[in-house]
Amino acid sequence: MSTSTPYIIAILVAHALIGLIFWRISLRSRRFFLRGHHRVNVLGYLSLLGIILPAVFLIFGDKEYVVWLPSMIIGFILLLIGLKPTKEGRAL
Amino acid sequence: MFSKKLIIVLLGLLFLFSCSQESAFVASPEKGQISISETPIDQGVTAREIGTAHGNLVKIFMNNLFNDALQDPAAKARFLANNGVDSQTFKTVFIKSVNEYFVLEGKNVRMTEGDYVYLEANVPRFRTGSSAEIRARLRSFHEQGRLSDHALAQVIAGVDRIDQAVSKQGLPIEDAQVLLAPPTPYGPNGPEEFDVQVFNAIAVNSAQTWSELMADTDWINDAELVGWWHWFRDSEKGRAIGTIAADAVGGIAFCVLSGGNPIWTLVGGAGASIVFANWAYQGM
Repeated sequence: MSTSTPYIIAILVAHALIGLIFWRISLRSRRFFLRGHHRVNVLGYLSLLGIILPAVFLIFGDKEYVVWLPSMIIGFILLLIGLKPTKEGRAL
Repeated sequence: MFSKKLIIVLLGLLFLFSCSQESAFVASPEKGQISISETPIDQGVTAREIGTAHGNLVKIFMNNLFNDALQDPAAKARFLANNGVDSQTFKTVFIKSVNEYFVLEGKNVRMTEGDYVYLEANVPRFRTGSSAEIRARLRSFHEQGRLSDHALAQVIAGVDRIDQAVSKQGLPIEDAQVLLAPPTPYGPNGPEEFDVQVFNAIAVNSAQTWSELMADTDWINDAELVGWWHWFRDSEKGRAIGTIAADAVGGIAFCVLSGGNPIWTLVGGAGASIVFANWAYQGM
């Protein structure tokens, strides 16, 4: 097994989780991840990426907390910003 | 905008890409020189530990020490013969970093008595030319008051040792290309003896000296300095930041291109980070 394989597995697992959460939230709340509103989706993706990818890597790969921890904090901040309804979201 | 079939095909291609990279890695003739151990040595083992574990019988050379010789099979054979090394026992071990510890490529590396190990270390270094050139350059830098007496003495002593080593090999001194390597905490017999082992290079064991040398930016610019992008591959922080950044860039790009489609956002992010991780983590 190549040394990069665990990291590729970690990335795929992280994206599967991000996708699952993307999907569940989009079903529950149309205020967040609005289909077609790519600015909102970018924010949502980055927030989930910032939280989940580091978490998965902490389990599978590098444990470089100096990098992963700020990423998770930024992810949570983006999530809080992203959860604020947009004009379009409020109108729905 | 994109069909589900296309997404599945793309994911499949990504998977195949990952597998093909792995196959190429295994099939590499250079890496084939690594022998398989019955008792795996964990990654993160230091060169010092390797030496200790095998009674200090393992001679360690850094790749750049005789880089030119390795490019030429005849020169390589002559070098090995001059050192009394049987080419059958010469093993190639790829090493990721010497900054903190040596990381062996693959866990199963067995070294037995008399094995010679070729370490390929991705370390920042710069080529300084012949020993005469390096002496002139060091003295000029010293005269400018930018290199301390101690640093000058240390590096000149290293150049002297290189000249002696080159002469011992029966090679003309003017042909030797001197390289400076940064301080490293580990060597086969400890930090102090590290530079005694090397051929054609100086491992600067003082961080202060290295810092002074690095201040000579003209010299570095003229030299063969390892590209800045190597930081993304050679350090844990670089790999971690690079993976997240590649993911974010890929995700945003595909999100915008697909008009905000979350699935394509995921595919773009995953694809970009996989390509990056495959490059960054494979050489470990």
